[in-house]
Amino acid sequence: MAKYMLKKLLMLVLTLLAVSFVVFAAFSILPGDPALQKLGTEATPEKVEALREQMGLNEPFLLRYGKWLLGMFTFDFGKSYSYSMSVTDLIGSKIFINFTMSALALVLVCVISIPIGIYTAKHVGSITDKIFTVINQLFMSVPPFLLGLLLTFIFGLTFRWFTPGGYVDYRDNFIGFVGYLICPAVALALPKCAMCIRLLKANILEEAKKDYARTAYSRGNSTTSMLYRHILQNAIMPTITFIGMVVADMIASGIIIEQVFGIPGLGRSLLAAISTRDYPVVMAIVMLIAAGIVIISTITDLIYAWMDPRVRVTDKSE
Amino acid sequence: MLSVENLKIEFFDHSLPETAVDDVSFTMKEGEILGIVGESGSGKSLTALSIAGLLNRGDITKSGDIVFNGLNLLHCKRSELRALQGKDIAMIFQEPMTALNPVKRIGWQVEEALRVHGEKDKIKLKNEAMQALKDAGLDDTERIYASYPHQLSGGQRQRVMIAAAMISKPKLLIADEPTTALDVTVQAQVIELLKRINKEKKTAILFISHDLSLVRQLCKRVLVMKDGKIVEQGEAEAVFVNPQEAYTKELIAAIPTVRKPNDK
Repeated sequence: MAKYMLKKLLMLVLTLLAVSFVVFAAFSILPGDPALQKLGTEATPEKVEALREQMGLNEPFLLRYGKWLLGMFTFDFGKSYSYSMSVTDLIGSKIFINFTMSALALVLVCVISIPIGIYTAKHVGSITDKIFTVINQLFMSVPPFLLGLLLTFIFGLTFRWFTPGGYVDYRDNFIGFVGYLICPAVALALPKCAMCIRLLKANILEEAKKDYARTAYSRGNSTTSMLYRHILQNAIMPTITFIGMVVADMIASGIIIEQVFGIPGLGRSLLAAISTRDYPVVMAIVMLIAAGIVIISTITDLIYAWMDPRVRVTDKSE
Repeated sequence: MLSVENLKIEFFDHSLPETAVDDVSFTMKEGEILGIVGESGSGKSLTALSIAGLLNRGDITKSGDIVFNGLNLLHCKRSELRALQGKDIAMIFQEPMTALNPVKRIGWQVEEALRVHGEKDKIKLKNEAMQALKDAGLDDTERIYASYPHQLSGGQRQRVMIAAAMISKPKLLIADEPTTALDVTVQAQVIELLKRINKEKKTAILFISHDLSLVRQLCKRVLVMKDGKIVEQGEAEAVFVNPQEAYTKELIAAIPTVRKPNDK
């Protein structure tokens, strides 16, 4: 297991290196001169050249990449072109907002879908199961932003449980901040919950047909003990993979949900930075999203290996 | 000990019921080895599964009586049935590759029957499991105890299945084609093991197979099934040497000739 972990961590580092290179190369190739953009109508060839020199744009590609890469190890993503601020200062607080929102949504997905998935699989064909199937269909087909609007309408405008658009900064009131994020997190989580419930239920029912389940019955297990002692550990694996992908997707969906709820998050910065060609900010955000996704998929792999002995062995024989 | 009377199993997956087992009756005495032979679809496995209490699908109806030591398994409560399963009636299956849970250690699975029926002492469980593995003819029990199913060969897994079935010293062991998925040498070893278990532990064995020569090696008495009915039954030697029914004759004639010298 230790060997497997080490291998996975090494892969993680290599993947991130590759991603960083691709991101940097892509933004270097893109047309448009940031120096020219910054100077706008005041641009003269001399001024542009001087600014290019000052911004370090005239250095060779690999040197610039190296500097950028080394900087990232100390959380230094360079300086924003549009604002005279370091990228870290500009997006640091926004990452925290998005991280909290995604984490809340993830917790909601696990807490809601795993028990319901188990329950509906155990009582398949019952009225409760049928009701959940319909609800699932409904939530699966509604995009998160529409759900966000509905939630705002119901809980914000009708019940007045929160003030729509009344975002609270975490530095002012942390409880209020988390409270405001609950609604967007629910909007993010519900469609994923629906898929998760369906997946887990299908997998439990699938595993219950397998031979080892029959063996378990032949030893006098009740349905409940067979479900918890035998089936669940096998059936939950695809759900874990799926939750890993959900987290990656939440980062993207979060960008839209932010807009719906008026949260000054990463998405807004990203859109602003793209439209002003503020490449250091865009690169930093893209890198962070990529890193988040790669780290989550590594964690998923490790959970997998921990739960399924076969994964560890297959890897050893490679 | 076991009497099956007028067992009838019907499928309802189409509009008309389809009879898979029709009016099957037989009895088994303690310590006896009874063989059921027949081609696929003859209903022999369904008969075995319903005795083990494992045939509980919604699209199947069962009627008749299966009486085991005074308890009617077809009409008793689920809890009464569970109290027997794994304790007095144990079962081994055709596919040792899939019959074990892939994510649980062998030791845990071998101990399970005892644990389900109330044994909590971990040291005792492990000792019993080690003994059962040894009795099933496995060496290196310490390693096997800590292994996962995918780390063992097919023959080893079937021995593990037998160890897991025998750990609670059942009165009846139902073996549903236990050797079909194994190669011939391992087959012979498993048959020897079953013979020994029967002799030493006095466990009755209901042996289901399509392989007549194996049934002849192992069983005293044999039932021949076809299309859900028992077409012939009697002492194994008598049935083989002097079959009465045309179908039994066909089955015997179908045994590959290479094997015949061994059988004599």
